[in-house]
Amino acid sequence: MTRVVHYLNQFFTGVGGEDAASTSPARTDGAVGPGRKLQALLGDDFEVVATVSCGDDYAAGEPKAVDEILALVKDAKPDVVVIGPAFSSGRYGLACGRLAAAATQAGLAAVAAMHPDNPGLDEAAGAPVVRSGEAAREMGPSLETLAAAVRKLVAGEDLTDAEGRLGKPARRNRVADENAARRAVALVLARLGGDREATEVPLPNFDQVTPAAPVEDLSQVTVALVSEGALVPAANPDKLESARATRWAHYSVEGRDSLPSGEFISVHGGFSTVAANEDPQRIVPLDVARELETEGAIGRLHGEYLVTAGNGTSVGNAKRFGTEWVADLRKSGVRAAILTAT
Amino acid sequence: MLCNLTSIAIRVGAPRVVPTRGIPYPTGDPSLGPEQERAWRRTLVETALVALSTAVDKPTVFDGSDQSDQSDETNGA
Amino acid sequence: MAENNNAGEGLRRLVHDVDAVALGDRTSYESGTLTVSADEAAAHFTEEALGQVRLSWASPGESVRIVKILDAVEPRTKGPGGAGIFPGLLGPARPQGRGETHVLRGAAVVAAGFLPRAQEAVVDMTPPMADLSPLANTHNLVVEFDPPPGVDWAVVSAGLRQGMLALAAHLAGTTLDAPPDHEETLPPLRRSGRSGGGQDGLPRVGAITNLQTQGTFKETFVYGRSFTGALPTLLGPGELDDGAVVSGQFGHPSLKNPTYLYQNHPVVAALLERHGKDLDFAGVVISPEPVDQSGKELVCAHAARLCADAGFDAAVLTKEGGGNADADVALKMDRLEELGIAAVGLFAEMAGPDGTGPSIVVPPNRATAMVSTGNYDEKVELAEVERALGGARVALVDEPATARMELPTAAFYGALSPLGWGRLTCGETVMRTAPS
Repeated sequence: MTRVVHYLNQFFTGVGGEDAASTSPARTDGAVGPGRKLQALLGDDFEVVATVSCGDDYAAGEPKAVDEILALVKDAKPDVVVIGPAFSSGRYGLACGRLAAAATQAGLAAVAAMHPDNPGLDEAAGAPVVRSGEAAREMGPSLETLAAAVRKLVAGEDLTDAEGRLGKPARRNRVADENAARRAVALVLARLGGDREATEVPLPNFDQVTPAAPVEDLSQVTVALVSEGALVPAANPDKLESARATRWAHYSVEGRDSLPSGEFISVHGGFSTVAANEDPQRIVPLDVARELETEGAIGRLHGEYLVTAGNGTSVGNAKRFGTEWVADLRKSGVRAAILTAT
Repeated sequence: MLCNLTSIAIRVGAPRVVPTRGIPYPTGDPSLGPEQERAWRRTLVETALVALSTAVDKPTVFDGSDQSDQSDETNGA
Repeated sequence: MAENNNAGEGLRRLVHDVDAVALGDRTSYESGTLTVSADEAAAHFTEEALGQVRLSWASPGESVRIVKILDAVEPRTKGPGGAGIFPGLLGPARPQGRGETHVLRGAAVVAAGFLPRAQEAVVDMTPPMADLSPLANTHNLVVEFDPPPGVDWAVVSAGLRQGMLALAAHLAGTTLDAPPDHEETLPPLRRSGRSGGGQDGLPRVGAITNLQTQGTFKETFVYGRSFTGALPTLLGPGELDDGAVVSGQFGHPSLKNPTYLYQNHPVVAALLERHGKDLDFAGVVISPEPVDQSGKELVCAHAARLCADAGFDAAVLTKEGGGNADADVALKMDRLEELGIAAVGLFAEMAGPDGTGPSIVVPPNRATAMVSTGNYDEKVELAEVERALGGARVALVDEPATARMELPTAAFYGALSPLGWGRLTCGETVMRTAPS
């Protein structure tokens, strides 16, 4: 008998509508609402032993919400956690995505369902999510997809396109039968034979970056210098890493018109730092920036430069640094930044 | 963004890119004497300022020097 | 188009298997056991540069961890005194790759210790390392060193390299009178100026191997010279065997190509396995990895033209390093495809610890065939071990070297081998190698 714990929001468990969106997590025994249909689809080998519910505002807004929900889920000792379907509901989807990620990381089998455009998909961090319809009127077919996915998951099989899997599955290391060299030779022979699609790594899609509007008059604004060249004061007081950086730092340039050799060094592990250490301005161009400020070409040079090390940095961390830099610079009234990259 | 591998910057969607002369020294050029290097650095940062005040609708390389090619690549998928 | 366009004779490998190792009074090889005299071995390393070197064995299955690993070399020789092995460093700088080469298979000379710009590389001789490092599967003669104060690190590095090559040749010298356990023959490089002009109409397939060339402590030597600033050139398979390419690069542990893997180039081996059956082996183009865009474009154009001139129908590309090195592979793959030469590249992925980030920052635009050698960021737990060589602590996690620790795959020596040694992969669709 496979024990199923089902997560639904306040609406689908009948607690209430928007008025009940702040309800904190709660657990009921057995299946509730759409969970009954789910039970029927799964059949006698499965039992929905508990239903955990939560108000959408609480679930998506409270920092501890996912932990609390997960705790209730775990209490019911599930073999598999079934989450949603959230359809196009944004807050519901966010909660479902985060719960799927948390449950998977906690070692539980879990699968969520939502519409492909639901922003919650990004929160699932590689945990299985299958497609649902756009709205509750599509509950029937959505539950069918979800139930089929639950069966496969419990059977230890991977969920793929055929089961309606959404998002990119996480890349996990495993040991192939043959080494990469042999596989590369097989791949090139296949390509010569006409198969131009075969690959072990699909081509990625990059973010579409919307360019910021241009600065109308630079002489009126504050410009900041930022860098991934890992330039730090000689003692590296904040212990910036030389590779796979998990942090960034900021250092004052107030009152300075140069960065003297010996006072600043680069701790970047990805290139020879000899040139940079001879003249730190080869990484952070303070001298000419200060000159341009004095001449009025820019209104003001920001009093700090922001820095990290761009060596084997994970994309996730790089994105986070970028977001945090923007927040930090905006708070200080900075309008534009010059990023030096190595 | 001031960097040497401009094709990477364009590929990942950086809207305003200024080419530099080497990975280990984005705002430097050790092959020049100190005064020339500083003058070159100034030109580079001035080009960056031009880029900041120019409207762009796709990744664009702003090249103030006469050396590298002026290719203006679009961001593929 | 000449009928007989062989570039001379091929190479015969006389392989002697190492089943057991020991330290003893005399260096010898008998019935599969390699015994090394620590004093004799130490004599190959200059004391002025390296201090008193210490030698220890670390064998598969033992509870030992080697940290701060630098280079690894397979013991090989062409005759008494080396007779030309490691040309330009040990032997005179003359083209090699012919005649006989004696190989002590199953052993490696491994240097471990501090050098500037080296990134901490780790190997455990116990599971789960067997698929995470070539060195987990060899009997490693570990050389530890303590340079006297004031010695220039470049001198230390050169001294270490010289000593390791001399020791490697010396160890292989113990096999000269023993009958080999196996003999392997490498074909001579056959040149053809016409693609599709391979023997019996087989496609001509070669390798392009990019060598890291980023200055002292991050460079690669070809015939004894740094390959920085060089233009790509074509080598025969035997030249790699005889140590024409030696590593002087100590960064990026999981993406490192030690001398050992140039001597045993996995892609060349995979191509030679199919030589005369599915393909005609066309040779190895080696190329530097410049750190600037215009340099990359120059060597790319040159390498692609070289492949075309040598009649390549297809190429498998390898690199050394991270994202910067990916740029060179991607650039070459696209250029080759433009010339009608099919290209496959080996790439490691940097998808973050949970595997959800984009795999490759600089993929090719036009060429699409990529092999995955695994995710750099995925974490692995190592159990506590009894002893450690190469250093007292692992700085990456700030723990004693023998402690239990969790490290990213990035830290294991050769785990994501860009030369294709490893079986680690993230690909969902992993190429099946059985002939269709």
